[in-house]
Amino acid sequence: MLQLKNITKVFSSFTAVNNITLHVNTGEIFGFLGPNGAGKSTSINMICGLLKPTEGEILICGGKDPSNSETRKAIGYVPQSLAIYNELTALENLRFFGRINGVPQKLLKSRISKALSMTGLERKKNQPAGKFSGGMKRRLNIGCALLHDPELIILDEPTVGVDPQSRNRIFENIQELNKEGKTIIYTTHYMEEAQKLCKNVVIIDAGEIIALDSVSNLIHNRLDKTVIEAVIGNQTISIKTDDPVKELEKLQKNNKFKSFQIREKTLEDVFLDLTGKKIRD
Amino acid sequence: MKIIFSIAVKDLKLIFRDKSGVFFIFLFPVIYAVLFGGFFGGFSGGAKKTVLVVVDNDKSDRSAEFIKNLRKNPSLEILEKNLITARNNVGNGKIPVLLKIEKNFGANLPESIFKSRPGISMEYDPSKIYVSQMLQGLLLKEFYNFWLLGLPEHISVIRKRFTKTFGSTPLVSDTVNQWFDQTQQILPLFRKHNSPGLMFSIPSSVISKPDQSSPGPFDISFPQGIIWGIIGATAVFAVSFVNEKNNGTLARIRAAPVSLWQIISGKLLGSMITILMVIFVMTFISTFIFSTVITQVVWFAVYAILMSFSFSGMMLFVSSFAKTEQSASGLTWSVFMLLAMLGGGMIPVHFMPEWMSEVTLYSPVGWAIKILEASAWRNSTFTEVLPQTFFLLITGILCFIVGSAVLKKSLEK
Repeated sequence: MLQLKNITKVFSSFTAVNNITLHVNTGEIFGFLGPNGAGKSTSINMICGLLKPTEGEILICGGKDPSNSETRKAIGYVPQSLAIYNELTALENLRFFGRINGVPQKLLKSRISKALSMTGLERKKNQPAGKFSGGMKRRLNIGCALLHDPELIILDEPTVGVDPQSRNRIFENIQELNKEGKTIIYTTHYMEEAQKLCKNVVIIDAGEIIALDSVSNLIHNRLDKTVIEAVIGNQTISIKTDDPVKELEKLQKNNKFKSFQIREKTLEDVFLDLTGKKIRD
Repeated sequence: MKIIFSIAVKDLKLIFRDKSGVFFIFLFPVIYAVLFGGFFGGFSGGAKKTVLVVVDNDKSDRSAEFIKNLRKNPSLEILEKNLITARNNVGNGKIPVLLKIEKNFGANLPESIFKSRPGISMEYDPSKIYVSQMLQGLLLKEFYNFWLLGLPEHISVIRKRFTKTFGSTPLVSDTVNQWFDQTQQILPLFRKHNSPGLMFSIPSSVISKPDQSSPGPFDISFPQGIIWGIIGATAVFAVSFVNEKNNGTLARIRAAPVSLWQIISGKLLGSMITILMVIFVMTFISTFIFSTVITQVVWFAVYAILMSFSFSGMMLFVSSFAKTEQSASGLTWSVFMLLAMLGGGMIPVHFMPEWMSEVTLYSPVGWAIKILEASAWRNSTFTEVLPQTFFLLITGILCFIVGSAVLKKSLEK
């Protein structure tokens, strides 16, 4: 469905993306992960055809160039920001994005109904989006990208700032779309989301791929350390160690720890192990 | 074309749901036009009188007579006060000008026209210099008319002074006496044919073309109001465009199967429709409520379309450079305020210093006012406003080209 071949993007003297090559299969949910400033948004913008790569080639849907506007009919882009019009009602937002995505007039009504039903906004369809809660806006943000029935859906951090109910609804929507055969590229900072939804993920940092594998392979093969979860005061910390027995003994001797246990490794452990704990701006 | 219309319709919906935007596009220009039309005498009841405080330091019959004559002037409201109170009133901005009648005003009146100071002087509030200049002319006229009322008496006094001065030389004395004798013979005739006190009245009338009726105050104020509406529409559209760049909706539109050219065209179309609506609404109000007349309807429509394009081009130019909504709003309003000021949209051009009035020739706002007036009430031919039309069109095209190029480049970053 999607192929990135040696993609590089240079802005003046800054290399945002450096020689990325990856392949996303049709019908899979693919995680695009990385810390802030890693080059995720630049890569997503190139996949959507908003930016042209300095070098390399992007091919979607069997070899089409996304910078060609006709090819973009196959892409449904959900930006990280709430890219909806607050002054327009949900219905008007959906109608506008449907039209500019080339949905034929005779299909528009049914597609809008489907999107409203999927996002749970039928009863609020005539309300201005500006009066919606954060979760409702997020759902409308997703709905606007689905009207033209795209084959490839790109979701850029779709759950930022939403309540657990809305988040759950969004997960259900994504899984439903995937069942319909849609290919989904999912970027997020929440590793548990990626672990729950994605089959394969790529982790990029400083514009380069540092891991590209299935979630289970990354968790089981990439991180050979054992993770111990320890509670100190009100804080829970994770300790990665090569020698869990020795580490547990050390923790036992230390009175500061309320409790500690060996837990299952997660994608987040792998992510932090690969990208480090240094805060990114 | 469908996509261009969709973008334009969406923009129109956004603009018309923004109450402050609607105020600046439609309400403010109407308020402006009505207020200025009223200011220039568009409402019945006449203009407000100018308050003049008079300080009579002479306290003579002549000074009292002069003040009595001033009270007869319909455009003046005369208050008599002492010097300290009068200066306080002018100093704190309550009254724009004080007129001081100096001591011996009455005694020196006959010969006062031969002196540099005629026995009256003015003091004014610096913020009301235009009122003081207007009053200076009016008081000069009042003073000379007052002087003329006592002309026979003044000539007798002047004759005595001349005889006293030149009386020792018989030849000069005879000549002076003959001149004064003849003048005094002519005076009754002069008084017969000229109403006393109106000698310096300059008749004035409005210049109009043979096929044109005189414009009323609203004929003049509404084209200027239209310009404010266009500026409002330009600013609101520029802000809306920058908002789209920043909140991600523009990126979302670009990710759709839409070219940048279609996006720009849609934006331009929305802006042009809004500007044309401003012109239509303002013209409708001015025609049906304030009874103004559009003398060249077809040319007015042509100029309206031209202006809608040019100002939309300028909108694109501003919004392509602005990074935030605040900077777009600030940039549009400050640039267009300046252009409006230099174009005569705020301060009448004839009040400007020479260099500034030269600059007005290069303001798109000035050009727009000129071509609107040309078709609305001046009844000018196309060739008469060809330079303004040409420059406005070229400015619009240049702004459109540069704005599109800058926008394209900024989106590629």
